[in-house]
Amino acid sequence: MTTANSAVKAAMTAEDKKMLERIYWRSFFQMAGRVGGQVRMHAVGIIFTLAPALERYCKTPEKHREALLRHSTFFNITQTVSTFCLGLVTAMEREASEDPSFDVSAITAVKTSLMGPMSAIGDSLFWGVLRLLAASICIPLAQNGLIIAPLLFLAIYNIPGMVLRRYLLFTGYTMGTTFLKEIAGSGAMKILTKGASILGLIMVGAMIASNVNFTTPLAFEFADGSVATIQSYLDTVFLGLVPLLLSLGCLWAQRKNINTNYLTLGVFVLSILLALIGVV
Amino acid sequence: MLTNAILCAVAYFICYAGNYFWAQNMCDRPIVAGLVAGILLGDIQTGLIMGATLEAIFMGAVNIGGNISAEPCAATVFAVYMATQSSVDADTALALAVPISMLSAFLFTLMNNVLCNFQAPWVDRLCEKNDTKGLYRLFWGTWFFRFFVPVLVFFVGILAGSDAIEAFVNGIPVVILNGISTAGKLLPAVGISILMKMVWQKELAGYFFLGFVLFKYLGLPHVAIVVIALVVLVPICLRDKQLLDLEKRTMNMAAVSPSTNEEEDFLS
Repeated sequence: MTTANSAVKAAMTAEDKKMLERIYWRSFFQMAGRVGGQVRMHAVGIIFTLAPALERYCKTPEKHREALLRHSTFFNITQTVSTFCLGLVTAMEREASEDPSFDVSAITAVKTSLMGPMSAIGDSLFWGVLRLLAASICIPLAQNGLIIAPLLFLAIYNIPGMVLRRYLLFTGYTMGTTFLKEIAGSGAMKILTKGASILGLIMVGAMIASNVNFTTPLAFEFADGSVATIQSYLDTVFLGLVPLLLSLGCLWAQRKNINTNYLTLGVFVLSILLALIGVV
Repeated sequence: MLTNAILCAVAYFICYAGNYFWAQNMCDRPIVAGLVAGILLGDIQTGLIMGATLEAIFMGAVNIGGNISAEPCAATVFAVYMATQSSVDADTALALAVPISMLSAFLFTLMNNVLCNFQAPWVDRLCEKNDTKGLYRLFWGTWFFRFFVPVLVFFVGILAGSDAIEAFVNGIPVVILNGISTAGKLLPAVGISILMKMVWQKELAGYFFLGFVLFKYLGLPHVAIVVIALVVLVPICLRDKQLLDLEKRTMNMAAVSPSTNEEEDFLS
């Protein structure tokens, strides 16, 4: 794999490099807009970042439109490490443009399964370790009134991220290309798609469990004075029952092609109603 | 008063919106915001020292997933403003800054987790029309407004003073606050369900519940869940690969055998 990787790296054309450089510089802006709030997170930012690849690989307007729709779904990943995923996605987009039998749902599955674990690593590494390190070095300097302290804080936090971001983009792209080359045309693509689907489903399950939360303080008092909280009953039946049912309900609605906006509005109104009757 | 309020609002916008504009570069942290506010208000030393003190206080608070209770950047700019106006110490300035930073956090949550959700159909429509330029306009417009609204309220808050803000924050009914925070916790289900739809296959649906249970019951971090997923996944893929090879070999044999038969026929 490593030798194949360096072969891919050596075979990279000037055009490939230029495209990746453009994606690299665009990736810094990926979280500016957050269009679509909790429902889409940084999807449009990702479309903005991947634009050089989409322009290059989606030659017909129809293909480009499909790609936009494909990337307009929920996406949220610690941006410093996001480029690894984006590198992989770029390689997959290229494969999709060259091989008509390529199943594009694998692209979404890869994005879905990478965002949780990569964010977990990225968040703790950058927000936990590096930011605390930068702050602990710079706070004493700032307390002594040194104007360099805030600038040093920004430098310590941002420079490693900039280097890592670039490295991960190129690594993701070469690894993706190598891997896809090896399996192209062997009929193994179907297996890859199934594998990506399984991984995607497991990670989407974990993502629902970690991102969707519900608790109720509602309680009943029995005649003998003992108190039973509804939450403890719910937890006994199944931990996270409400988030699970809600997400399955949303899935059902999505498959029935119910407008996402109604769904959003429904959940919002439901939350306010639950608050009004004192359930939350 | 008005000039100072405008300068504070500018400092707040530079730091608050600048952070997400480019790489979440942490320029909204108190240590940086203190300097920016200090420069604009003409008292760099106070800005630096106030920023350092507040950085130490807010060190643990990082807004993960947009759920924040008090907003460090607003608190810092306000505290620096208070400190330049009268000789208050850091603790008092911070206490005075708490209401406005809570109000700002509330507005930011309202904008991001509730109002922005209703943009989703716009995104779909623009993608449907293949309108990249329109998407970018929406993107940068959203960037501006989601920070400009809290900044505007911050500006009004500085003009109105700390007491007025506190009265306003206390005036928001608890029920509405609860409802909005519940909506913020439940709404990710809508977005993630779109991903579920894309990777959902009826015969593989069990794996969804596996991931859910691994997180909820075992409390495993995502990294560990990926490892388990790979352990489950690799043997399945390898077996499928064997099946595929077997299928190919059988097909090859089937393709080869008729020709040998023909040869035999011809020879006999």
